Amino acid sequence: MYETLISLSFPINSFYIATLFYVASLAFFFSSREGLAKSFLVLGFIVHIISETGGRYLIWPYCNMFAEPFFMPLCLAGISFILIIFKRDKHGLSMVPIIVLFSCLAIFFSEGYYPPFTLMSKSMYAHLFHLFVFIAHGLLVAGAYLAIRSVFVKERYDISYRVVIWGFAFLCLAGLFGMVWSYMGRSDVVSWNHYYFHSIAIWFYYVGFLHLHLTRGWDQKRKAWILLGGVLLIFYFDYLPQIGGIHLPGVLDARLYRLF
Amino acid sequence: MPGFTDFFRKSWNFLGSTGLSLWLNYALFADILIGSIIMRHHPTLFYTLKDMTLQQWMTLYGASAFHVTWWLFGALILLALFALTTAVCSVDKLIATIGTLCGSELWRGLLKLSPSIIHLGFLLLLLGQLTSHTLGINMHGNILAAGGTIGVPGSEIRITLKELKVDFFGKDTRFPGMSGSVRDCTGVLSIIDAQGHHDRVISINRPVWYKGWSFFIEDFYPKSNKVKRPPFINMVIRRDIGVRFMVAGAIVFGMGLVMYLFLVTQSRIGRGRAAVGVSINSRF
Repeated sequence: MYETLISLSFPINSFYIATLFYVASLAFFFSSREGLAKSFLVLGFIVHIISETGGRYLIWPYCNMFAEPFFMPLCLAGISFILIIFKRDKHGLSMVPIIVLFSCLAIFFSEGYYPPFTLMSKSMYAHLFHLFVFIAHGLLVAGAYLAIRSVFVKERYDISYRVVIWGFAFLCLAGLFGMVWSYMGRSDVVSWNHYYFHSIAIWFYYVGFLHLHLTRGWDQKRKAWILLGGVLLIFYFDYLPQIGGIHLPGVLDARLYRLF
Repeated sequence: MPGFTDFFRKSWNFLGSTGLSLWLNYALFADILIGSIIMRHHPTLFYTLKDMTLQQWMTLYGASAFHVTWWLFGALILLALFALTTAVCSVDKLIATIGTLCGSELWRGLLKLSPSIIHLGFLLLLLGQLTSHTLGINMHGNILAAGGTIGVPGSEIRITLKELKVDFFGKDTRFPGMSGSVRDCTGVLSIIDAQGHHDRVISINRPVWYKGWSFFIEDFYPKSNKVKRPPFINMVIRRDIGVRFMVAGAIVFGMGLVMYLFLVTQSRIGRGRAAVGVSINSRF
């Protein structure tokens, strides 16, 4: 399944193990054994961190720019773990189904765990940009999920706003690192390609959301749907192009790689 | 005179309304999103923006292919309006926040100013982009082989490429399939002006700055170790006054963002959004 330029069996196999732990956590979550569900979630998270670190070490100094399918479940597991630390066990564990879903998407549909070998990706700012943008996407997806869940279970969901605010902050910092990276590599802070401009559009979408959030008179339900809209934008423009088999024609990989 | 004052106050209130900002924000979102989809189908037309100023591009390409470029003209107009409303909103918010600071803690008060600081950073970033893409000098196609010298037009600076080294992946590389292709391209630029010689290392992702000028490797040759020809680089020479505004904007924006996050995390989890203290009093 994975056509790799270097032997990446360690990160890939450890990713499988992490996914198994996540699946076990899901099984215990559904059987209402919260203690075991939490333990397997933490185990999966630790193995996943080892997998991600190992993969990046093997590829270093090149940046694995389109590894979001592998990074997304790690970020979601991290958010879930943090929520559990902050005694928000119910919210944290409620994220296990989407962690499993994204892990399976990475296993069955990813384009592969390989880097684009362009000299421009060999930059500290490329690493920082992609790390921050992946974390931002994870936070924004988690925020939307928690908001929609709260609408269905009819409870206040202040926590999801906080997650989205952090996601937006990471998105802003990613943008700043991206500007520096683009300037160092291309002599222009703007990358005149569609990838850059849809990212700017998504940024404006969330700027609008945050201002709506701070505006009195908007109920939880409407805000939750707006957050879902943001996630759909991220999926269509950022996540799906990195997914093999089910991506849309003309959006994908080869074109993305050429941009860098 | 009272008529003018009244008109000014009404205009100010209109520009400072949250509703207008939000409509402009979502108009920008829609415009840029449509633009990015158009861009995907016409990449080369927009890629030329890298090499010329906005006004040059608008005359040469923008106007003649308006059916494809309209969204960029629209985005520029919307951005100008958005910047105006952001500036007015920020001044209003600043005045309102300063009014409430009396008696409260200084640190808490400063944190409450974080949205205004973020807005100021955003405006500086926009100003930097505008000056960079309209007033910047952008010279492409400066070919230099090792030992070659060129002058920087409009200045007394001369540049000599003292050394140039193109590294290739060896046969034992840990990246199979990459043997013989380029690993790095590094050179030493000697900048000569009235103050003497200054040697600086230049490579991909590592430009050289000197007295407001910047030098970038845009391309190089050869790209494979099978080609046995002397290497050369294609250099971009830039003079970009917008960069300073952008750096200032990035710092101010980052500071404001960190302060805002601090404000958000200070209010305990479980408390409502009023704890953040930056709500907007408008209805839609």
